[in-house]
Amino acid sequence: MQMMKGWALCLLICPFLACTSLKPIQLFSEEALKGLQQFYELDYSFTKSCLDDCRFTKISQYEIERSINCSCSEYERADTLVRDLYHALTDYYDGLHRLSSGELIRYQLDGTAAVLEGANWNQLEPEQLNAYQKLSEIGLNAVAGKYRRNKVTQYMHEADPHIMLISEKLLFILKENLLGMLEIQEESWYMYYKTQVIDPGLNSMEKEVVTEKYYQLLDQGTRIREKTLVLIRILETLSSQHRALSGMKLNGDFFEDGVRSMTNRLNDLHYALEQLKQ
Amino acid sequence: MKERLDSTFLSELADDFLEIAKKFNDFRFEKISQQEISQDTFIEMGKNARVLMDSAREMKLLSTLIVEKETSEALVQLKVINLEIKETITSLKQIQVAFDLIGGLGALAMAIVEKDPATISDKVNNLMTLFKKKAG
Repeated sequence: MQMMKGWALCLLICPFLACTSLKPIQLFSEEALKGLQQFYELDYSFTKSCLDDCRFTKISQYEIERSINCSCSEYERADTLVRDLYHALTDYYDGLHRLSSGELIRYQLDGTAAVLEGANWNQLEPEQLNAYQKLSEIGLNAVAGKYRRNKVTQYMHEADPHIMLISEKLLFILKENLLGMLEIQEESWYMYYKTQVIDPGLNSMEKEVVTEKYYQLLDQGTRIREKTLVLIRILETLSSQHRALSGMKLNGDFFEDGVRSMTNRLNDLHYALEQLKQ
Repeated sequence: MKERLDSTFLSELADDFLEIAKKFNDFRFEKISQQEISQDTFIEMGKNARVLMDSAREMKLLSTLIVEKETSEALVQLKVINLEIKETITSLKQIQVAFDLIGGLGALAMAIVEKDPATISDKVNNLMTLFKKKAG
């Protein structure tokens, strides 16, 4: 009879306890981190742009020195700023993920079950002992889970305007300035190789080699641009979704739908990036 | 607000410079193919286009390095929030240790009720391990 009451109580409180699930936030931050991870796929930077330009200038002017001597320290500073902005975002999503992760709280309640077992309560089946342990865990998670849910909601709400500004700056740098550098580089290639092609001193075979080289470089540029644009779309998706989700109730269907649609969009972008890697 | 304008403004100015350089290049390539300008003029015009492009490059760099007051404030604020999240995680970990201790104490209490010296000794040892973990 006593046991029946216990199970009835369990059935009564379980649906309530389930409300503390932080799974959607966990999924959201996990996807965000996965998306931001793609940043490492970008094999172009301000420093690389400086070194490429410096090397290309030396080649086009037939300058040979014992070492290349390119002054790129200011470009390195620009890359440091990009990394700082990026790390601010990954740090945040990493914290959010750890805070919402079920892994964080793992109570050692096996001791209690073991003592029940050791106390010769042989009338309890192993499944019942396990159920007792699980129920205690759910109870404890409900207390700590509610606290975590409140904290997660508060942090998302507080962080949102800052996430927006940082993402905005990062997007501006990537879209306007880093891709702008690439466009300037492409014009340098155009100027140099077109001048070579109209040079009467070159025979048609040499002109063919020059033309081929130009289109190879242009292909490289296109690939860099496409990769950067995918990363830009990932950042845009993350910031707009953060804004939308930070204003929603965690328990609502809208939140889960929002995370699901973001995941789909990000999966498409991951796929696009994979295609570009081939 | 002004700094923000500068950052955008510089980047747009760089785009304009590049656009002019491109038009300038188109012009000189067209004129040299029609032999309307000399080779020297063609090279000289190329140097001018190069100056415009180098300036555009510098402007793009400068535009990146200008960090608007509101962006730098956002960076500081987000770092504060990130720190708070880490502290919450730490306090949750302490809660976890506390719950572990409660679980251990409960196990000890049951062993006492059962008056089983061997189990009591085991449970005391378990508790000592948990305390050490907390101290660690």
